[in-house]
Amino acid sequence: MIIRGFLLGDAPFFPGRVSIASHEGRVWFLADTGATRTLLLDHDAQALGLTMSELEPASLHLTGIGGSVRPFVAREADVQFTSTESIEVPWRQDLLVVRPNAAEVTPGEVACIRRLPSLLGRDFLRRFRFVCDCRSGEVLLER
Amino acid sequence: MERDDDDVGGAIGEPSATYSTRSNPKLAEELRRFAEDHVWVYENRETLVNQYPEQWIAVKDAQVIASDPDFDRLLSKLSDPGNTCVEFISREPLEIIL
Repeated sequence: MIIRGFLLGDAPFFPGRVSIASHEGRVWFLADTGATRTLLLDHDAQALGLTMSELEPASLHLTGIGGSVRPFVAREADVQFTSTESIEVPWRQDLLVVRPNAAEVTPGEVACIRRLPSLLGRDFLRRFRFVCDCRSGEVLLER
Repeated sequence: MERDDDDVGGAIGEPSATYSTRSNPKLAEELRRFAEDHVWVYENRETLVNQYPEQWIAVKDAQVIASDPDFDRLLSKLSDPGNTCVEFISREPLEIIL
């Protein structure tokens, strides 16, 4: 079973569908082997129509070079991909959602964070053989 | 020993994998078209940056259907924002280390 991705420049992306409660939409995930967890970033969360009242503060902090943030959790989110044979590859999980706190960061930082893509982290990637060949342009997940 | 798919430690609810064999050509087509719109934005970024500098754009079927410098305003212009390719067009690429 192969899920085919897309190489934009040197960045591997996978399209997926995310369903959280009554919200549903498509997300353009950047495959990130440096991320321990899959994350839904701010602009995708807003496009899906998720409100803060539908999210719970997570019990963990996410740490990056710029500092640490406390994400939110969307319980029982369904993330779906499809294989090259059009077979569904579903994944149910408590999805972490990162939304900047306007009280803690500047408007400029909020604007930058909003540009960040959602991330497909190792919690998903490790289930597959992950190929990202920048020379041939091939990106895929296989199991 | 091979690690089980669901054997992950963590502080919140654990991910569970349920791999189906259900064919879903409709979803595959939706995701293909969504991906093609993102690829189109990438391949046409030079043209788009002249037309929509420092703006959010929404793209469907390789056509810009809405644009606005303000993200919230852009979303308000869309009938189905969750299923639309939305990207920020800037002359300055966002350098990120994630």
